[in-house]
Amino acid sequence: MGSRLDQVEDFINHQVAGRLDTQWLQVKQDWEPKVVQSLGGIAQKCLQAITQALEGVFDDPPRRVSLGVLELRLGLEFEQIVQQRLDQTQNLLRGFVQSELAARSEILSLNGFAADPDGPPAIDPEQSNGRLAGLEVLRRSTMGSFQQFKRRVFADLGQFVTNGITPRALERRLILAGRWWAARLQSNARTVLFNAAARARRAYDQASATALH
Amino acid sequence: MPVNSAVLVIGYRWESSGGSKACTQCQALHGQEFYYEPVGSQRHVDEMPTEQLHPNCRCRRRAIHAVKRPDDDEWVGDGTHGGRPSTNLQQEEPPPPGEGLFRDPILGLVWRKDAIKRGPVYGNYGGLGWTGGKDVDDPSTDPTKPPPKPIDQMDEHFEKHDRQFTNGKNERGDHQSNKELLQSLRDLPKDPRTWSREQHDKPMTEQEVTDANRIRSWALWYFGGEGLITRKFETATNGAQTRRGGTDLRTWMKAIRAPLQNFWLPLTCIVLFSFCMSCTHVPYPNQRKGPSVRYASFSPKENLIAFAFTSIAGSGIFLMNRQGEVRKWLTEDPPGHWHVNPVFSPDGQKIAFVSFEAGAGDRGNIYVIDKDGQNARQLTSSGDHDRNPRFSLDGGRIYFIRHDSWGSYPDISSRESWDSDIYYVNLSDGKVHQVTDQEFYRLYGFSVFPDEKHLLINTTAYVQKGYLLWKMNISDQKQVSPIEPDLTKFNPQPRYNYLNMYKFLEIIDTSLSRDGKFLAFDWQNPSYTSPGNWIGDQVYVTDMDNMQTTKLSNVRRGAGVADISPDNEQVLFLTVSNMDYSNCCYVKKSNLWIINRDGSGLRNFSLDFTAVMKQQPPNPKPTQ
Repeated sequence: MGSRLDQVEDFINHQVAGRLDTQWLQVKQDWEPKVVQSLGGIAQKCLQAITQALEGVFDDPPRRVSLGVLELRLGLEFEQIVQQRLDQTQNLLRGFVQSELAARSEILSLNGFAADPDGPPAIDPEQSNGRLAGLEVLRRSTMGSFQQFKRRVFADLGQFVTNGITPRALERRLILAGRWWAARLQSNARTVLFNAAARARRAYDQASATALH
Repeated sequence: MPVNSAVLVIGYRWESSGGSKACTQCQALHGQEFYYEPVGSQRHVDEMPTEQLHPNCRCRRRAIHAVKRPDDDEWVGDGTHGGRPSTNLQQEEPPPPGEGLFRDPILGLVWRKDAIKRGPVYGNYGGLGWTGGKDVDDPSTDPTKPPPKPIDQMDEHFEKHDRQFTNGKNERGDHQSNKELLQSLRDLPKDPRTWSREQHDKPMTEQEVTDANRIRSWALWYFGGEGLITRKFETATNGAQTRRGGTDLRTWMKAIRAPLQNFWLPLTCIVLFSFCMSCTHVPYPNQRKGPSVRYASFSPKENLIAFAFTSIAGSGIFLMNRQGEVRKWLTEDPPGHWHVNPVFSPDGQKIAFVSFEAGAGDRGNIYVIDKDGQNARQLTSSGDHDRNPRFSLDGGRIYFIRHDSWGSYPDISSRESWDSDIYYVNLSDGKVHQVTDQEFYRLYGFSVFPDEKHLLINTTAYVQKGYLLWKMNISDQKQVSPIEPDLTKFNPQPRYNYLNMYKFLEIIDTSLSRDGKFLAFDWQNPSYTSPGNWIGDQVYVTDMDNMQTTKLSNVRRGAGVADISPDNEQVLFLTVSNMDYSNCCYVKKSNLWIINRDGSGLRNFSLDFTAVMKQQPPNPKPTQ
């Protein structure tokens, strides 16, 4: 009987391992595109704002612009876009953590079938809402790269307004700046997401181990 | 309905992609284990990094879990854990579930004593390979007797599910069938006592109610997981969205400059299209689809064919003669692994194959084994998906595709990646060398021309140029020229016209003859692609000197090419049709076919496993 039980355990372990792998793949498939799109889209939105602000500037005759007005207008628009998208991404991450905790519980308890009679371990909601999701890290990294992007864009615009560079060169530089920022945001989004996944799972595992002590 | 058992995570194994692109920090931690309650030299979870090691880090922490036995004082997992007392549980011994069955004290499910690895069973039809109240391989089954009826309403759903598989409705729709079963189980009344039971006058006993509830909970969990996989499968075509960076870059370039042609929509649809096409020849098995040959190749010296075969009775790599008599069972698939893609060395003495680990980041490694099944040797262990081994002419190297697991679409069986390249491994020193550096988007397959200076590559990377087949100069990889078999006699417009944007020859699987003179491939005639007249891929062979092409197969639902014989006279191909699999040892009608290169002599293989099923393969532990 002992060896049969070992086989049953092997079977269960194998099935659980498969489900845990699926959980991981689900992050890659379902959540990563959403989070990356949400945060990475900031760069796109900001470049659209620049395009609108520069409307007519490349025409013949060109519309005259002042650097001060551009900086003021774009600065406000950028702030609004970043804040809005950041909030959106943070909400996504909160939802993600809740989903990860629920999935962990469903998998390890075999859908409640083989579970601790006291129910799933309790996770501090404060933790799951903030620390586990890595909201502060996300905010800091986003704002940090935003400042760098803004400096770069305004420097380029300054050179253009003072006739230091041609419209074509400005366009190229803005594309490069946007590309750099989008890549940075996407990279940050992925890192924050996978960190959040690892923290949420570990918090659940830790709580269930503690509960059964 | 919880039982007194649990699955706990007792630690983690750190895993980096392990591939050549992993950083040194990630590589150093790769494979290390950390436990909540370490014993001996084991490390504590607190020693494990809490954060990713660097931005965009691809490392993951794979859970090490254990099942708690209610009657044990130990948490039992991989045997390395220290253990901890569990609550003292006293349970009444339930009545035995039936002959050849037992009820486990962990989950309280009923199992076949001789086939535990097929999972728990219920009634007459609940469980993998469990039909008519018996195991499908039970020799005492009398096929002349009508099968027993389902024992209750839930068993009826299991029986319907079984029937769908037996009738072959699920070659492309098994996920759909599983979803239907899942929904049926959810819709059942909560109390099993209210289920209809045509075959029983008496109400359910307490034990029967318990068994029914338990198996339903198990099935909901099991098929619920299938549901997740289903969604992965269904959304595989959205993978382009997750491709590193690209989408956003293009979108905002479009915003700031003149509108760019939307590249991703058509490409995504091409992905969908070719994904469907590639289903003709699925090299990775799904055990539920029933037994089938997954790949086959000719021996260059003898009258032998190596083939990968999957069935409940036995799976792995086998050798047979051209009459279909299976002579040797070379390797048996270990749990969770599939041995696929067997190919002979030029001297016929060795066979290279892929051991594919499903669900584990989709990893595949190249192995080589003697043709007698001895001296298995693992040649690659990158953490990526290495596949499609091809020996060099002198047999000293094995070329293969390294398919970055992290660059994969969710379902590896689609053979899709946006980050694949060709490598080779030296058999003498085991060193791996990169041959191409293209990060191919969707590299389906390849062959090495006999001069070993050129490659034939099968990719959608340059689909906008109208071809999927290219000849590439290895030393100057910018030198690529299309290969265009003459298919005009089958269709004056042989190219598939995608949304009036791309016209390309929809050629997916290829096999180049050993001397490079002939190319066998699958092609879908674009005249037969609408739902009403769809016929699927058929096998063609092209003379590489003049590109004249002969059609070989003409089968419903398509065929996939496997190999051209060393004398260039015959071609092996596979179909998706069901096999006539009457018992464990004889397949009257398999899905493997052989045909002469001129289109004559079509023959289906009957596979007789009688001689090998009683002797297990040597399956030695591979050395690296």
